[in-house]
Amino acid sequence: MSNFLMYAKDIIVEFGGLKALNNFDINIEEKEIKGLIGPNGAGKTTFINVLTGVYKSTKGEIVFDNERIDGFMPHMIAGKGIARTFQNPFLLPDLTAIGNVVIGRHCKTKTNLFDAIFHTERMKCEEKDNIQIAEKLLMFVGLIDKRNMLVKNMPPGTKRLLEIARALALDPKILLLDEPCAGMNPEENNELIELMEKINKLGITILLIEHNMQVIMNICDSITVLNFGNKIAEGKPSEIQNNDKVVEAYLGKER
Amino acid sequence: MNKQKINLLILFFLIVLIILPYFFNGYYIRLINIDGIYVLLTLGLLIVTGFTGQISFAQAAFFGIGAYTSALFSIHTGLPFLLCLLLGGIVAAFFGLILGFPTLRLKGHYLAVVTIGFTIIIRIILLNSTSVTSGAEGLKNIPYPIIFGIKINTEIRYYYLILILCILSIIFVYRIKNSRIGRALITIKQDDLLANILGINSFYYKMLAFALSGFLGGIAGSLFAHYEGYLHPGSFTFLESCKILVMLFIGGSTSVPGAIIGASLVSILPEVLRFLKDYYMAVYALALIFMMIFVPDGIVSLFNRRKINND
Repeated sequence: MSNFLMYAKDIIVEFGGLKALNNFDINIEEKEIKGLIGPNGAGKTTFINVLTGVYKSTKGEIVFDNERIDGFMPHMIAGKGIARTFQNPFLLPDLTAIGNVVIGRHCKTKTNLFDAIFHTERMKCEEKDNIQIAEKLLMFVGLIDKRNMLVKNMPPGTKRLLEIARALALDPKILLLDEPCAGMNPEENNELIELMEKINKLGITILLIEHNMQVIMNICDSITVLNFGNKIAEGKPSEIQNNDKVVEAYLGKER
Repeated sequence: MNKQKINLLILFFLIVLIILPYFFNGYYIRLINIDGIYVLLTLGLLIVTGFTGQISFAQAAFFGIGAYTSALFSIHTGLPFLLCLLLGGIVAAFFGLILGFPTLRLKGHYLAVVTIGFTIIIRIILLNSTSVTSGAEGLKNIPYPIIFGIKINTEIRYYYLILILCILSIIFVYRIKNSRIGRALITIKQDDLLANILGINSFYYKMLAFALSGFLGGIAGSLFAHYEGYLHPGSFTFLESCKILVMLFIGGSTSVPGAIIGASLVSILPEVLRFLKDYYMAVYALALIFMMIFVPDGIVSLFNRRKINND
């Protein structure tokens, strides 16, 4: 019996003849911040897509919270408490900030057609809760002053924070962040680091894909390194920094 | 304050609508009644195309299914009108569910082609099941609706019946739009994958959207059947579906007012243009083309633009 919140074993993902992931293993402990790094095209985003059910793995098993989730439909996986963000913020541009966060509450609410048409007590309660929780989350990520701003008028940094708020609206057990620091300036990066630590303190496990080594080395409890679909190293940040294979993957072989 | 303004506006429109029939003769009231039926049809399409983003040419089929179901029930079983109306809606909704099934695998244009096929099949079935529908001869002697002892047999009475059903449907659509279901639908319109990642079962909600669209279409069909007193499969063609889709896009494809304005404009405009005699259809078609070119987001967008400029 393991005390891992999530583990994946022998994951193989093939696109035609190409193996995007080859016998990939990863173990994520509860309440840790796990870094997943690797050069471009290593298969990091592919792994997140497999985890969330967007791609089907050719082989392998994924266990989350003592339950096998590989082969589940994406919406069921989301319902289990796995939330993610995208490399490019993916929001509804014609809605306001709070409107987008409320959409993230879908799994946590139960209003059905009958409730919606007859405005039952349950619907009224849930709508009130939704707004309250969404406001709390906007406060949490520091966007409460942009509550009624349309997403299409937002700068990219704001969108990214909003996407995190929406992901948190699912009450996730694990949050998958796909390059949250890409295209951010150093100041925004620091804010993001703070935010991730704050999220982690709430007891939410984080799987972080990132190219910014400073961010990774600063906040991750452990790191897994991928290259061409193979895991080449796993361990604490200090171990990874001195790992020959990792240095080789990033910088090339020493002559 | 803004909300108060909107409420006043709604009240004003309601009063106008209630006293409207006393200022027009039967011919115009008939036009408005037909318009009301189209409003119901367009509202149905709004749910599946406007909110959920699935182009559907099936509205005429739902219209036909609702019409024949309601008419046959009231002819053969003598059930009260309101029950027939509901049955028309429910049977059409059931067909909507069936039609929603291919959405598991099909998207966009491919799904649109399936809905075209569905409409054509339904019309052919209506035409050829002669023992039930009397086929090309048409279904005659559909009784007048009787509601709580009131016989709905004049244009004005029909006007109020259709008005009430339109108002109920508008509330129905608004309530869906502003609920968890409506949010799920617009997320699916944005992107299927995004919806799934947020825990929305996009397949289920697409089926639901088709069913709701079918329900409103069926209600409209039932009203149409009893209003006309005579049904013919030729009323429920693919072209009719196109017309309803045009109504939605002319008005503005994502909002309730847009659907109402579009339905009214497209159904009343040809009658207004009658004075052009032989050319009226040509002018009508040109007008629609120009509207699509110059107001691609629909007529409602004109109001929205002004609102933004004012801010």
